[in-house]
Amino acid sequence: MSSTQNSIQNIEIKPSVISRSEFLGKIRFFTRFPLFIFGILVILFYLLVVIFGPSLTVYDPTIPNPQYTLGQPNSDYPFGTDKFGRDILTRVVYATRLDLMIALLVASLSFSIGSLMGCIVGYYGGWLDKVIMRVVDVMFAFPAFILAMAITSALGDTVQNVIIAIATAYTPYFIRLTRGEMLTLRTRQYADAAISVGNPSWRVALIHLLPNALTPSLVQMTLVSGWAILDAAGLAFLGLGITPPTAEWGVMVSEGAQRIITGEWWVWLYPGAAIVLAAFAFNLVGDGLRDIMTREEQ
Amino acid sequence: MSAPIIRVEELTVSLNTDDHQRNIIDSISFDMFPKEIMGLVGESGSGKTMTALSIMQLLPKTIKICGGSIWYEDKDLLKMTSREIRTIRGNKIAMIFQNPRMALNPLMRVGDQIARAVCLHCEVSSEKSKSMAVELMSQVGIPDAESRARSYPHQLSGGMAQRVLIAMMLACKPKLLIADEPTTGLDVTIQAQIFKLIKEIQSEIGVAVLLITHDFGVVSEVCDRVGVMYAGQIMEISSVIDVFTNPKHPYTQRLLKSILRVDRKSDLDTNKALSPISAVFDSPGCRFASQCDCVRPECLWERPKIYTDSPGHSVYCFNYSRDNK
Repeated sequence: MSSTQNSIQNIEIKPSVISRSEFLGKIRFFTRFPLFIFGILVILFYLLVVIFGPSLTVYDPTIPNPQYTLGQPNSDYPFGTDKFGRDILTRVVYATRLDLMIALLVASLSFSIGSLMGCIVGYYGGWLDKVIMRVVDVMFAFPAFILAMAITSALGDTVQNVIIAIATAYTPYFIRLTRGEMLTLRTRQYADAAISVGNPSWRVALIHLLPNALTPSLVQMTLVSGWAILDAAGLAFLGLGITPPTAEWGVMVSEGAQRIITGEWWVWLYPGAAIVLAAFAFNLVGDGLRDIMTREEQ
Repeated sequence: MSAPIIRVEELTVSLNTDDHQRNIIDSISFDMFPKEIMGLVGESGSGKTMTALSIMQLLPKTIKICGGSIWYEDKDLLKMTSREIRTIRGNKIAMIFQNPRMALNPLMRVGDQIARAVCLHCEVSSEKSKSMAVELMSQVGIPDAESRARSYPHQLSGGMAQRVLIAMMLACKPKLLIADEPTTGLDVTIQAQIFKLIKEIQSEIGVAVLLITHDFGVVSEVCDRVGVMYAGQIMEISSVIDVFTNPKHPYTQRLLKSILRVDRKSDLDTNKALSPISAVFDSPGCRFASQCDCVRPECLWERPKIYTDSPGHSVYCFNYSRDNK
């Protein structure tokens, strides 16, 4: 076999390790998406708040302080206090923990369950596919928020139930996306090749095809994180799911909403801004990812 | 000759459309013996690939096997459960594909892909399987296999990808290797290398190879025996020498005439309209009859019987049956 080896010796071999210049090139590539970078930075900022925020604040998020209710922002209370005299800044910081946790849990729950189901029905097809896709169609007929509202009110007001409700409402998105990808992937030749070396069909579907089907779902996962924040806050605003005195953005906005006319703007502005910025950042990252993926394909 | 390793008996495969059923493979039979390279030639749409896929049981859902049997040793592959067939696939019968780069998982390092194939059939640790993968890669002539094992399929050239695929299929030392046009899309020098590799492997580990191709040059170089197919029927099976020096079936004769050669002006006009038109699939007789120069009346409504001229040379044509001699 030595002669064959000699004749292909001169084929150029690309190094599989990324070199330094290639790494810089990748960085430069990402600078073409400034909004994506902005989104990432905002999310990083939120994560820093989640990790270090509580140790930097001096007040407790739930203990009332009758001496200084509805206080204007000043040097002691940079964001002011609410009607029970609790520091708004402290509450916003603690709420970040809760809301981001909800967002990430919802996104990963719906992503993993949805992709798995989409993978199975897309690969095997048949009656199971028909049944599940009709159920998905029915769930799509409801706006996700309404569905989440119905589920939360049925299950009861706990953080856990809010997560389950919102995750359920967004699972169909992932089922549909992954199923669509699987339908094209299962006809690829490497699926046949995987079967022909003796893989059982579940291995072909889960190990060889599913990872190739996840790209659109990853984008969707980022978007769903943003929507989950909006939904969790929205539910809390309506008095469903997370209830006072828990520090949560939606709860805080709902308390502040009563004060809009009376002029205590700091009560609702800061938690409101936190919601908007977080949802905005996740959306920017999601859109940016989608642009990057399509750009890479080209 | 020893007992056949695989025996295809009256295999019929049909494509069901809404209004009717069409036999895209019509009752074909052939044997393959250990350690031989058998070529299956024919034009596009003649059912070569479908034959291969039937043996592997990889047919698309719309296409069904509706008759016949495929014997591997003394078991009928068509009567096996999916669990039993998995012990055959890869282990006993392996297949390499037309477009090697499409046949590799784009998200998995090629070394890992081979290692997984090894793990499926041999009881080895994952460490061991990885070193076996590298070993296999250098065995199929990949230089610097250690570092190549860490590359992804898109980093490989077509020829390299085909070598990887061959390494993967050899992972468990199959008894039969089906090569479905293994060099489509590769340039001629790489083609030569791949065929050389297949021949080397064939003599080294004694695997039988079913080579599907439409290139008679390749057939003459590589194969021991040849089956000629047209429109889902086998026309002629013979040794490679007989097919070139003494072609019997009118279709084989015309097919050989259509080969472009430097030293001869080909008569391209006689070969037009040779490819199977859909009408021939519904004919009860020989499917080449409508275009055959030596057609007999019975050709149109009766399937020709096998006629064996010399040992190992069989023709399906009424022109050679004893009554008509």
